Amino acid sequence: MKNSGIAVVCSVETDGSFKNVTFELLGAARSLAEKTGESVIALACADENCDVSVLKDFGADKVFVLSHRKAGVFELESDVMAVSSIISEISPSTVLFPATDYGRVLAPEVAARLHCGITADCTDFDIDAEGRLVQIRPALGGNIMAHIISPSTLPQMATARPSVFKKREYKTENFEKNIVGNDFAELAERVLKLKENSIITGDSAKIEDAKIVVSVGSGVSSRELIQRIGDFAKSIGGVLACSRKIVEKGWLEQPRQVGQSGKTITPEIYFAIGISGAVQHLAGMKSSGFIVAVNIDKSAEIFNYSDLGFVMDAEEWLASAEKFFKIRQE
Amino acid sequence: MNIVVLIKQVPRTDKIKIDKEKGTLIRKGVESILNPYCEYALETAFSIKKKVPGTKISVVTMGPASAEAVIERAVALGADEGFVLSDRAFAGSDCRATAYTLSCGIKKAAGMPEIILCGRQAIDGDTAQVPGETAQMLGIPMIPYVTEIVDISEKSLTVKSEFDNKELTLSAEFPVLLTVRKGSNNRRMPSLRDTFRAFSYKPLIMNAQDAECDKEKLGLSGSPTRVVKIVPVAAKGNCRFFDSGNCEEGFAEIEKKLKA
Repeated sequence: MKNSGIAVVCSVETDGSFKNVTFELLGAARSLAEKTGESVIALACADENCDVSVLKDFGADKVFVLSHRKAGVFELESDVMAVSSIISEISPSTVLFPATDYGRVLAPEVAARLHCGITADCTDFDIDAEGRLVQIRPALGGNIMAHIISPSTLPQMATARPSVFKKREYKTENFEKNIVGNDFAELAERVLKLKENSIITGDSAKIEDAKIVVSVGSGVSSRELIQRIGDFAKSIGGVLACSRKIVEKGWLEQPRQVGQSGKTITPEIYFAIGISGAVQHLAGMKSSGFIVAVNIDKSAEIFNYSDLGFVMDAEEWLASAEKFFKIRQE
Repeated sequence: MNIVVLIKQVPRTDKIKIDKEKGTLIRKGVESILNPYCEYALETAFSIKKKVPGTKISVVTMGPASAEAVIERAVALGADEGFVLSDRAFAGSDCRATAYTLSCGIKKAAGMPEIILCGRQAIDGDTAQVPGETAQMLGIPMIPYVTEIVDISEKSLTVKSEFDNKELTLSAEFPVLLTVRKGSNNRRMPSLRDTFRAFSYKPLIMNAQDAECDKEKLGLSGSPTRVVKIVPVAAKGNCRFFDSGNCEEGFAEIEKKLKA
């Protein structure tokens, strides 16, 4: 039988709601489906009572609710089994996973089980003349886009970066909900046991949702300066982020890292302070709406991607900015 | 206890320049290093060895003969032995073919070790896919994004893992594959003894036959994904510049944007 259908693995929050990236991927899948004439199938590892009706407003023709998860059981192992099993059963032509921490682990495990190829961190998709999925991802640190296909294995699989694809309002008719129950959680619990589970809070967790992000790099020379920049960020309603170098120094924690090995973000305004613009960093922020760069070196790569450029030392810039925005005087 | 650490030699990606016309890397003058995340995986192996005396740490890498350099580095840091999987047949491997080759190499090097450690990703490819595929091919469970080994015994371990803004405490019986999220901020310095040992250490080189690989699953022909095109990305290139003399004008622009 010929494989058909574009499947999207949904990302479900602990409270049962869907993460934004789910709608973004449904939007990407719908655009592909318009080219190939296939249907869009959502795969959601969630409780069977989970309200999935919202998926039909964003392009899903049907959903399979994989209801194996059990409280107190680590979901990854059982999700690998459940997602692999439903893919074997329904034989889609394409499966898209979110490139969240979770999806970037789930996808390769599923692909390996099904003997398929898998492309990581796609930022665009297309359909080629033969009807194959073209998986487009930044490579070599982000200065180059690689176009990749999986010519010999089906389904074609890829993870897609959050905050890149556009959510589309698209109401489908005859939305179909199927519930698939099984005992994968028991199987999974035999190999891995979950002992504790806690949510990490604080604004470091939220840089991907922030509208304004103020990011610091190695041109910011002390913890005190970072703290002051943090205050500046707060005063303009922004969140503090950083480049990899700052994480390596231990000055800020990894969830704040922007770039290829950190998060990809697209805030409305992005400040790059003391960041030279290594290709890896650019990969994580260059799609931001408006980019302001501060660097002592006018030839720094970051300026090639910026709207406003301040050729100044970070500390001097900050002092002037504090004065202008009346941060210290109040 | 046997631990295998998978390591990779990578170019200093922060120093790489791109030939935008040809769409290729300008490698000239760019040094090769041990992938930093692999160093975190090694650190974790050493911390386990401290808690479980008699642990043997083997490192396995795949690459050209020059990848011996990262084995030397790992031995200098304290690894017991090292293997380089090197064969022309491995050239052009994607994640799946790489994971297959590594899984053959692991079995040959250490049978089924109790623990396999990997960094969370390599800084050149950045896919983070090889560990998961390797675990599946070996048929063992994986715990990703490990930040701390909480407890370890002869048969099992308990670790902390951090992902998507959650912190989990998980335990597994051996064998298990772990990917390591981050290291401590204190980089380990090679001891004098290990440095001398690394200097004269010769890693074991394995080709496809030595590792008992199925040739069809190797290299380009064993890779289900194909790069069909490379397209350079254009820069924005319309930045308006300010300096200390006129920075207020720039701030005014920012203010406008903030109020918009």
